[in-house]
Amino acid sequence: MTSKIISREKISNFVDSMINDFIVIATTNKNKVPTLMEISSFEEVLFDTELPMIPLKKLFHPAQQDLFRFSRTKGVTDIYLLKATKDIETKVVVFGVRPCDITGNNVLDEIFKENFRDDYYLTLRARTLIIGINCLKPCYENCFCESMNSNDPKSGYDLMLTEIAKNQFLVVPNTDGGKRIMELYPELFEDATEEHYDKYIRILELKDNNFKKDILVEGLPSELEDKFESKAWRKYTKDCLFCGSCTFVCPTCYCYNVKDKIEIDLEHGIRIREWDSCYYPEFAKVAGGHDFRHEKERRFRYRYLHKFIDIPRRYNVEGCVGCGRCITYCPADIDVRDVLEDVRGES
Amino acid sequence: MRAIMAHDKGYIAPHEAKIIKIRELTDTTKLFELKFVEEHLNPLFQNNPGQFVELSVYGIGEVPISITSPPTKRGSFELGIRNVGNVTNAMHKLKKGDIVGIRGPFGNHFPVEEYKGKDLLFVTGGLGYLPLRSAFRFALHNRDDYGKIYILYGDRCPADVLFPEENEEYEKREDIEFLSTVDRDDEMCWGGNVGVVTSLFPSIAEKLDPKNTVAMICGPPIMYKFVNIELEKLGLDSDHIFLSLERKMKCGVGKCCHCGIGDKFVCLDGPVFTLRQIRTLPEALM
Repeated sequence: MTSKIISREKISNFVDSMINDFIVIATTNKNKVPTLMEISSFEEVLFDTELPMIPLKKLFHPAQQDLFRFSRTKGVTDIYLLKATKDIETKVVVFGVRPCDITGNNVLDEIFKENFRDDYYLTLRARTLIIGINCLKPCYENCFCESMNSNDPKSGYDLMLTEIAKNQFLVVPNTDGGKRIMELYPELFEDATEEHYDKYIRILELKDNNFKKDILVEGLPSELEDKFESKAWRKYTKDCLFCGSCTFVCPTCYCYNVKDKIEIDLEHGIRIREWDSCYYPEFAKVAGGHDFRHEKERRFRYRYLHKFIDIPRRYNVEGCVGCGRCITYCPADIDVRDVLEDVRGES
Repeated sequence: MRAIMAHDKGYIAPHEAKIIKIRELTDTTKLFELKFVEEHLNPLFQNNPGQFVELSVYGIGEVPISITSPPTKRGSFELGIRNVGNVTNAMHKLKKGDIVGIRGPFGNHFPVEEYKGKDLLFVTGGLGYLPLRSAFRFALHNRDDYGKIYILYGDRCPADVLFPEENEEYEKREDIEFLSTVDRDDEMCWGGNVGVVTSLFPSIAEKLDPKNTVAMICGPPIMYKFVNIELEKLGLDSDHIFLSLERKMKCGVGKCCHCGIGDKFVCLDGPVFTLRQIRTLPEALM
């Protein structure tokens, strides 16, 4: 059997061993909010706590990224993508990723692969192994992952840990990379028996019972399409501060702006890309001043429709994973579940 | 036709191109002729009518610009640019021999080649002339492949009229019908029709065969509203009306999300859409 058993105590040895061989990233408390960052010891890991404020996406699609260096008169002089490829001998392991975040990152994988492959994203993604931890019950009141079918990803991770009994985890590999990690530290794992499997299956059944659907996504796209002119959009537009927080913490928000930063010699500079937000006033404004989404209500509505209609239709995946971050970090207390309910409820 | 992509260095980085010729079209619009610095790229660059490139003025930024030259022009290409923003203002300050960056060509195109044998109706207003020029010059280059060709062009005032010498040639030609108009003629220097572009429709309405005509349109959003009404009045099918949409196309490859309309990206799925498609896209004509 390829799946193995590891005890809770050994997990700390497992993580500390990986720190010797990989760059290990996990959720820590170093920034006062739960933050994904490189760790130097298992002690720093927030093992049982909530989701990191900024999801996995920041590792592959950083908030700000240098693209290339240029000279004003000669053009591109140095492409940072090629430089990055040379620096990636060391693999990165992200430890303790929750199923909703794995599903969310699968959405970005789809988007950055479509038509034109985004090598900046995909190079960083390709060097990363993901170790997930299964959720057996909703992790907090804002979670609605079950509604968004994000609780049981079939891909996008290398190993998945499921707590099948107190202090006992079944480690299930999902890729060759996952198997190779386990082979590196054979002394930490025990073989799984039939009995372990029975427990695993019982636990998964229990998990199914623990999660309830808050929102019915079946039929949601066409229903929202019909409710394009709903008054509920206006109601929430009045509350929204258009700060963009929800877009930055969202695992499936990825839009970006591109800028040139010129150096003091006025000759050299760097082209960067950085996260943008469709809630910002300049987002759809073109040179000459025409703004294709000038009214706040249109900007507010666009994000919802993009998540719940456009992404599913275009990429065949859910555009929202129900992690609830946008609810947690919204300064105006807007709850995506209420918005959808109000819009749908209106006749 | 194959688009050249900068796979050798990731398509996010542009290729360097040199400005080989600058021509003033109007007070605010210049025509730049460009050639890639790496010689081997020049024969590879093939644009379809209505496609665009991402133009970098290094240190200022990158903007989408429609290609003004038809696919039949090889070895170099032309961009008609009005100075309305940061990058285009900087572009207007550049001189012959200066270097800019080019990515592309991107986007789909006006289906000129696909509709051989049909009558073609081109309708354009203002700067929309520049992308549409690549389409109608391509059709004129292959004149025998098409039935009747109509070109309707409207601009704000005589001083804004683009390519007047080419327009004069079109007017003289017997095998096409070229009609132009200006919205205002304050200085009384325009000999022709005064009024918006839809005021030209009555002169072709009788001759036009709606069942055999494909319309290709490029202009400001307000023009589309009125032109679409006219075209449908004439009896054209909404599958045979092609419009090019303008949006903030930052990346050109369907990633940055700035040009999204519904589940379409204008840079990738457009910029050319049929009127039927546009009717299913909320907020497409804003």
